Amino acid sequence: MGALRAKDLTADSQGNVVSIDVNGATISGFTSESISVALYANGIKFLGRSKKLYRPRGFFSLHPQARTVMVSINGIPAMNPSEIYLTDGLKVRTQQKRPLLMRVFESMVDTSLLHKPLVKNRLIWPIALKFIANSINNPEPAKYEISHSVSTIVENADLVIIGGGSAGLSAAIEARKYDLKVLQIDDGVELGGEMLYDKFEPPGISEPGHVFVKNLRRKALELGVRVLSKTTFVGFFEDAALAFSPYPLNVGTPYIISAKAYIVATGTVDLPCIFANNDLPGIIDASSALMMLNMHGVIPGKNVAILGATERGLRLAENLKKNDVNTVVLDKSCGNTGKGDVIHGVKEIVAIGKEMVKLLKVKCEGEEFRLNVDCVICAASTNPDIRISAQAGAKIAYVKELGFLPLHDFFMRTSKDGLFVAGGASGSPYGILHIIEGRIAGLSAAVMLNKTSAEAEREALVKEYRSLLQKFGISDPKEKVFRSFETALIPDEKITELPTLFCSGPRRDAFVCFCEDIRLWDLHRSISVYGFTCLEKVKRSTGIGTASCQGRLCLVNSALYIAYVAGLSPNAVGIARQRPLTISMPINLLAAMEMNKT
Amino acid sequence: MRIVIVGSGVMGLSSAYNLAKLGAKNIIILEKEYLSYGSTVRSASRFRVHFWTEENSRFALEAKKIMLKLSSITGWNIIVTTGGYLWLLFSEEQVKAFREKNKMWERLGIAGKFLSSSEIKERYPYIYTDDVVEGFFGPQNGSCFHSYVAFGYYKAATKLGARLFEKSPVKRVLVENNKVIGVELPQGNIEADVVLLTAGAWTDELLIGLGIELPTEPERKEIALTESYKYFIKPLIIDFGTSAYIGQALKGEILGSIEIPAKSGLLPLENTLEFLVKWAKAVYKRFPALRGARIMRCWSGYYSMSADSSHIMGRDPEWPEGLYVSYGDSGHGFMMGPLIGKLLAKNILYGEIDELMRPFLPTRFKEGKLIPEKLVIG
Ligand SMILES: Cc1cc2nc3c(=O)[nH]c(=O)nc-3n(C[C@H](O)[C@H](O)[C@H](O)COP(=O)(O)OP(=O)(O)OC[C@H]3O[C@@H](n4cnc5c(N)ncnc54)[C@H](O)[C@@H]3O)c2cc1C
Repeated sequence: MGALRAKDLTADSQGNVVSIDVNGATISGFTSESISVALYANGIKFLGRSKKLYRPRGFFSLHPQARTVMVSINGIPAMNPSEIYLTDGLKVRTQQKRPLLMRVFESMVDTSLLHKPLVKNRLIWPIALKFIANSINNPEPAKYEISHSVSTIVENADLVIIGGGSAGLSAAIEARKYDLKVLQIDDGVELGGEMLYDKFEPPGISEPGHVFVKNLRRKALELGVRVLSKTTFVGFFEDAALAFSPYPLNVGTPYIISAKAYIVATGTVDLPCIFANNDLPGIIDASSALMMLNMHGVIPGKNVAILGATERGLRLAENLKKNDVNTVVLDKSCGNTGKGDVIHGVKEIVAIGKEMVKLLKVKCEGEEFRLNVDCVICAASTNPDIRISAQAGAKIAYVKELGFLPLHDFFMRTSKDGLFVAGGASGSPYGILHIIEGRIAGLSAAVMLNKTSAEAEREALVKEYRSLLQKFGISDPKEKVFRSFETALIPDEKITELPTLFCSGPRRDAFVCFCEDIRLWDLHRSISVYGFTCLEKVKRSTGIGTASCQGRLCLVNSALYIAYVAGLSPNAVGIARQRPLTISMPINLLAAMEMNKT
Repeated sequence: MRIVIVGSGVMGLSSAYNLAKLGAKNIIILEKEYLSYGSTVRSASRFRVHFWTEENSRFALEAKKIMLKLSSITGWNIIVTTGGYLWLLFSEEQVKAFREKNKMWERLGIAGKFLSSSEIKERYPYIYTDDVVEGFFGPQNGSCFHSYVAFGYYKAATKLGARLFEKSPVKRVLVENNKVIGVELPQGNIEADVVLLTAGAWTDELLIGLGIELPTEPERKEIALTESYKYFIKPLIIDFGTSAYIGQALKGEILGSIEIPAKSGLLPLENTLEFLVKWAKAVYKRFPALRGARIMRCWSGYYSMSADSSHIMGRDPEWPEGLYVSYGDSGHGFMMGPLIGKLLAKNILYGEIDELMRPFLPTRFKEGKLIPEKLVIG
């Protein structure tokens, strides 16, 4: 049943066993799994080739919004395998071929399209262009018609909560208590978010995470929260908001949304670690590893290296060891913190492998060694998922210990009227703090909608919240956020350390963007040769953040790298303006929408 | 001579470069946000030589020549392609009008080609042609990459000594004795002998501050982009029936727009679902091959519209001495920018008014010598 299935399947919601056809071979998996998970469980990690350089690519993140690798599903090209769940007989085709001729043009594509190569010769240029345009690994547009009429569903609510994790659910429960009409939108199959992947007790909570969050979910549903799952909130427009579900398969459903208040509870994004060949299949983020292990009983590998001895990294290591996985944790910081098998003082990492990661060359202070690995997990740093708040127009700023986040006060209000944040999306660490922030945000929405009796309860909660912040030792940075919100003065702190950077010098094989093969070297040229240090300009000169994952994985890393290299505060670099849509939607579906319904 | 240029779009930057190249020493470019925040890098980045009026066609033809050479001039490869423009026409009347115009274009050496509905089908099998009466194809037209045009001019101009200051919004132009003496910024005043307003759609405000009123106004335009697909749409295709247009970038994204009921003024640079759905419907019908393509992103920018839909450049002798403008380019300023900068530089330094430039002076409105341009879309 797949090489990487854990022997003892502790995962509880497996669904039915079905078979799918992958490049002509039959593999089996469970209906609760996305195609990415089923393939990974069967040892298939190499799913496609990258756009410009034809490098082997797997998924880096299982998040449905990380559209970085595409496969063809039932004949439809360019589908995201992390977004589609197994059904019997599904036909999956991956594209591993690398056209021979392309090797010749690779170097051209490499430096030409997104960069200044001066082709002074105006005779050669048009010819070169032809090859360049044709040598990019782009699919053809999918050929399909929507077979039956799509209904445009209009959803009206008092409050829309984007994200159905522990924070979003807590918010929904409070808002329902005050009788708000609540719509919860989540892109996963089931509500619960990251806490579903936690078999241990999250900080401040006295039962296993997955049990706790399932209780929250039950309660929210009992209280009558309306839920759209497998649905992504795609954007705030001037005249409406829009959400999109890729289901029913090959058709999809658009939702036109209108609400008086919005809570963004979209959690955090694991930042990819940057090192040589960090784009190889088998290199994944911490959230995906936790999800595979604890939701699906799939171990991410047999020999695993975790990058970053963070709370998340260590929790993951503990999880893996329970499943008899060989695990080492590599960390940049020097000196032993006495935490288990952590190798400290790591300076540089080079991943090696032809189609999957096989080996890590690790350079530490004074020594160099090799590790045989079949999986590398990036757990060095996370950042709040800011795309929705930024798109809505909330003020985004960088605060040292927390990352780029929407500025907010202790009522969880952002600078955009009617927009609240909670949980990971606000920069708070995992656990009870997410719960309490969610509750405050829910109450704030109620207060905003004239449920005055919610005010007293909120007051009491805020007190508890601030003392919890102290207890967890993040009172200082969080209070800094609250102050910046009030005063509109943004702290100007330079960064001296980049936890995700395991690479010395701007290498041409260390990737920042997986969608379009943009590397440290490209960023570096933009900074040093062109003199650009503002992310908007770096974006326009390199193309960073403009491809299918819409900057989810690359923008924050790029901004921090620029700040680090240029010796600036990340706030001076800024984060590029976010625009709809958060994930792309087929023209088919948009064309079928009826606007007069709103 | 101290020259202040307000705005760092293609107009400001190409003027700065050309002024510096002609030897002007003291050039300061002031930008309220960051380099090329405005329409230049929000545009569809296309150029064409076919305009309804002869003045515009002649101007565009010269501008194109510079565009083709720009990579070697500035040192940035602006990725020029000449895939042409294809106008899809839906009535005999439209065809007749284009045939009439083609005589003028022929005279200028830029005749296009009329394609029957079946010829279009054959050449561009991805177009639905059943209701198309005829098409007009202009092979001389093309595209390039707007950011690299702007950045190239910026690099070249700064190399010659021009300086750019970002986050420097000009509040007003300072005038004494009917002579420009500088500009006012929140940070303080900057003295100048010449102030060139190339603030795109924001120029109106600055002119009104001086008591100058020209018939111009900003109009927000939205634009959308798909994910990348194999490069197969070479021309920019304009559907004259719905006003929708599409074109494909070399990188593979398909971009396009459609008119929605116009609202003027500096509206927030946001998007509407109304626009997105309308464009999707138009593309769905006209380009069946794109039905499964996925729209990735949309954004908006301003057209600086003038009463006759032609650009405005130079000065009115009645204005304070030293004041120049270039704006009102009505959605085709990107392609005209390289030539505008070149002619303006000569105008500012030597008082020379080129024959190509003369029709576009701001005085044309009070003199009633309009240049009514009808080909605005695309
Ligand atoms: C959707 C869209 C598609 C388009 N497609 C095309 C096309 O295909 N081909 C074509 O030729 N044209 C096209 N255009 C038009 C083209 O973009 C513009 O005509 C051209 O970019 C104008 O350049 P500019 O330098 O005058 O203005 P802008 O590029 O707008 O630059 C003006 C600059 O001035 C700055 N500024 C404003 N006020 C102040 C102040 N007070 N102080 C300091 N700085 C200030 C702004 O921030 C801005 O950066 C399109 C436009 C849009 C919106």
